[in-house]
Amino acid sequence: MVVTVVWLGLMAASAAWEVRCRRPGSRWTSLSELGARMGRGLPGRIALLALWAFVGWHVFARYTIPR
Amino acid sequence: MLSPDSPVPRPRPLGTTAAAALGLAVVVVVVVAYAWWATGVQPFTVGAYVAVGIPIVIVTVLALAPGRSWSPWPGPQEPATAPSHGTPAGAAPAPGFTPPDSRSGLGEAVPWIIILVAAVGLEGVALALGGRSAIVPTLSTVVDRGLRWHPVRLLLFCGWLSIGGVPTVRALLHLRHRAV
Repeated sequence: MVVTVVWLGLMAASAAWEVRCRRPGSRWTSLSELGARMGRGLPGRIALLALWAFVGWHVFARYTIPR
Repeated sequence: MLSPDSPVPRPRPLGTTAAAALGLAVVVVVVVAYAWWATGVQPFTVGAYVAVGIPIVIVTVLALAPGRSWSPWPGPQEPATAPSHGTPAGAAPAPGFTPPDSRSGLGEAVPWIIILVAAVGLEGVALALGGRSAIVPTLSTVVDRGLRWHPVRLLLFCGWLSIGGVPTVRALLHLRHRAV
């Protein structure tokens, strides 16, 4: 239960930090900027696509609802 | 005041904006309808693999088909007028681009690295404990709890589609914008 809360906290922190980074004048890099920078080259783009495909496949095609 | 040599801004035809808005609305409705169907399919079935595989194939083909000539992948850091990354000097930025700033080092990404290290560490411990531990669950086990509700699956699926689809469509629009 504690670790579930930690996971939810990490997700919330990520979302909040992304919003904070996207504010005008922020000196921090947002996750979308990191992704955009990484995807400029072909290897980075392939890596991002593979990660995205894996997440979709794992979460939406192969999920098991816990009892 | 515009000098005689200045480019005169061309007024956008009224129908163009309305058509673009209508087109976007149609795309959103189609995507949400698809997501509703895809998230209603039983997992571990051929239907589920096809439902998830179709957007993966479409996005992969769109993102990789132009190959190396497609650089740069546009993003919020895309220089608007600088002649770097193949963007010609003076070229107008595509819609949605913001001017560049000075953020380019790893130091500005430290909070993301901390979050990533924490997540990887937690996932590693959870997997070492078998992956289905009630004390230390994996991230997917936590997410699975929310997937029992169809609207949650729909929301997450739409989010997943937009993460893969929006940058790809934006890159294509950017390419087209540069070509014109």
